[in-house]
Amino acid sequence: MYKIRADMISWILHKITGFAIVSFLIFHIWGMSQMSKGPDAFNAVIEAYKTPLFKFGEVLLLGAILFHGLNGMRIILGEFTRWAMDRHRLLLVLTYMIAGTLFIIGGIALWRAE
Amino acid sequence: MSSRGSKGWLLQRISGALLFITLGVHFYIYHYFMGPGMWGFESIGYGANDLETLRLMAESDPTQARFYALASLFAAPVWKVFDILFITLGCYHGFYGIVANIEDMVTHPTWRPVLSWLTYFAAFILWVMGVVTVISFNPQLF
Repeated sequence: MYKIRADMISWILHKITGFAIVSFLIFHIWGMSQMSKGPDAFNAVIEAYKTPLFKFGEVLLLGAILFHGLNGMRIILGEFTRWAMDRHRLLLVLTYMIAGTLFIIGGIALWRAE
Repeated sequence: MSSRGSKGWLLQRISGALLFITLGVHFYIYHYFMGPGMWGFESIGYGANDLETLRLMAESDPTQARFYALASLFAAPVWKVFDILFITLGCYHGFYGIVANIEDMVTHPTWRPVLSWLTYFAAFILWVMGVVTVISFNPQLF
C-alpha cells in the first residue's frame, strides 16, 4: 500500500513539475526574444526578475527542475536496467533526498543572489 | 500510452536524458559562469570576447553590462548551435509531455485530437520564436 502511494506521489509530482517547467519555457523564450530589441527592452525584463515575486518563482522553478530531472533519470534507469529495477525503492528515496538537498542549498543561494 | 506507440515513448526518454545534460550546461553557463557573483568579466573567456569591453561596461554602470555580456555569448556560433539544439529538445519534450497527458485524460473524440494538435501548434510557434531570436541576434546593432 505504502509502495503504491509513494509511486503515485512521484508520478503526480512529475506531471505538475513538467507542466510548471513548460509554462516557464514559454515565458523564458519570450523573455529572451526581447534581447533582439536591444538593451533597454532586455533590461526591463531583467529588472522584473529581481522583484520578490519572480525570485520566489525562480526558487520554485529550481525545485521543479531538480525533481523532474532526477526523477526522469530514475524512470529511465528503471526502465532500461535490471540493476535499477531491483533497487526501485532505494532509488526513489535517493531521488527525493538528492533533489531535496540540492533544492535547499540552491534555493537559498538563488534567493540571496543579486 | 500504447495508442501513441513506442516511438514517442522512446523519443521522450532520449530527449529527456539529453535535456538533463544540456540544461545542466545551460544553467552553468548563464547563471553561474556569467551570473551574479561572477561579475569579474575576465571569467567570460570562451568565444565571448569583449564587444568593446562590454560597451565600456555599459557606459560605466556595470549592472547594465549584463546585456552585452549575454550578447557576446549569444553571438558565438558554438552557443547558437547549442541553443538551437536546446530549444528544440525543450519544445519537443515539454509539449509532447502535455500531449501525452491530453491523450491520457481527455476522452472526448473531438476534443482530444483538437487539443493535441493545438498543443503541437503552440510548440511550433514557440520553437520558431526561439530559433529566430537565436539566429537573427546581432550584437553589432546595439
